[in-house]
Amino acid sequence: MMAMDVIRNFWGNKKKRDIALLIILFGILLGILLIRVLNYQRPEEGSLRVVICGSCKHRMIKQIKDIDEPENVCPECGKKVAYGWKCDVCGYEYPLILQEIPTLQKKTMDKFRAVLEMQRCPNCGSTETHPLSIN
Amino acid sequence: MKKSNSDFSRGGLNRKRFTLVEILIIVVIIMILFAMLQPALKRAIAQAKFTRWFAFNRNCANDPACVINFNFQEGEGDILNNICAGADVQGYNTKDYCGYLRNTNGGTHNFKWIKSGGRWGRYGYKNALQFNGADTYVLIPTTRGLDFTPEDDFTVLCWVKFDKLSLGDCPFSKSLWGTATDAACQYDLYSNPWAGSFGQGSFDVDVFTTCATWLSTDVDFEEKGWIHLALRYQHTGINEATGDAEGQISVFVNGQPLGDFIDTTEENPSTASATGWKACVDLHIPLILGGAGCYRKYWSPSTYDPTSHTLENEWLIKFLFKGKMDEYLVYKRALPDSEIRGHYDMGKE
Repeated sequence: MMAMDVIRNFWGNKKKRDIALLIILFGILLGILLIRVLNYQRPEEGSLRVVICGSCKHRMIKQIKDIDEPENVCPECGKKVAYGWKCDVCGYEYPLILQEIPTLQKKTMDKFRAVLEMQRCPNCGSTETHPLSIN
Repeated sequence: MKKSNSDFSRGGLNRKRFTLVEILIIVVIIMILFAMLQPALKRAIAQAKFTRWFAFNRNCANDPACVINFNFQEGEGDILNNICAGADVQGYNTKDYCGYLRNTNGGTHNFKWIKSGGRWGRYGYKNALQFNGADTYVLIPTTRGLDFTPEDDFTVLCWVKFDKLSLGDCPFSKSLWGTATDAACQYDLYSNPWAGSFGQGSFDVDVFTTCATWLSTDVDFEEKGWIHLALRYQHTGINEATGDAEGQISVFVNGQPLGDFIDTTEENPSTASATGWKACVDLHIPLILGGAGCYRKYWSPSTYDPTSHTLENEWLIKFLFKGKMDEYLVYKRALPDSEIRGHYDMGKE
């Protein structure tokens, strides 16, 4: 009976009733927005790539969109990972550390040669290298 | 009898005013309705845009100058279907210009079809093909209708989404890169974010022996979003002094022309561009999506057999594209600016 009296008194007070209604509606609005946020699925980005840790050489396959994103770190040592490359001549597998190449007003062959230099095998010095495939 | 002000404020004449809390309740109810309707409204808008693009794309396929039209709506399988109705090319058969999903290592391809991964994909309307930048490329084996010469006009259009703009990522090419004295190219386009300030310029093209670069584009585009790229070549005449055919190269990003480019052939004559284009025709170098064709004898001599003259022995793929593609068209005519802008407008999200 006591509770019913409290509710009756509360509901009888228009100001209190309106504020209660406002709070309930706000709760519903927040609930809808929360459900939408929780159900939001990020579109799939990036590809499965073989990556190698630049520090401990741990090798793994990871979904990568941008290799420079901070979450792309080695689970073993926590250091940055890089795309895995392989030398066609000596078979050496290594992390490819990308550097900025000044390409101002250079022609395609020069730019492509500069990229090849960056991809050069650190073991035997060959430019006959390619990215590691997942299979 | 005259009423006092206090009678009005107390609603004595049934002209009650709303309180702040009541107005807030109404506002919140409207917000709830909007929050419930918004996903449906966005989906309807996306569906309308997709339907409009799809109809436009089918219409493009009826253009007799359209040699290739990949709309990437397959969503599965190993072949990109060319949906052109029939191009004005001798002996043209639509199926000859389909794209085949390949692996540079020769094994099973590692492409990934992303259903609802293209434009308007969030609402489930457009598939896309994800290139992994390690071993994936699309081969269009028939070259007849794609062997453009400096005396032809042509336009290539595509919608791409780069995973990250990095130097040399090549969405398409019909080329045979080699050395400073031996390299052939008909047309290609690749990203070059390090020209000028990072992110400016961003794309270079090669058309025959000209390498064009831009230091700034004056075109705003979202680096990590969908980008509409168009390469146009228009034959303008014959150079009287040399007797060579000349033409005008234009590149459009999101429907806007990039303007005058720096012709690196003139700016930097001591270094190398393509030295010709006829080798691409003679060796039947195919158009590929997702990489740049190169001479095996220069770029991978350890795998080159000088006694063999097969395409696989002469040619290999480098500079692989990392990102998605969800539309690709080739026309054997120079589309006017307005038509390229129309392609962008019809296809933008």
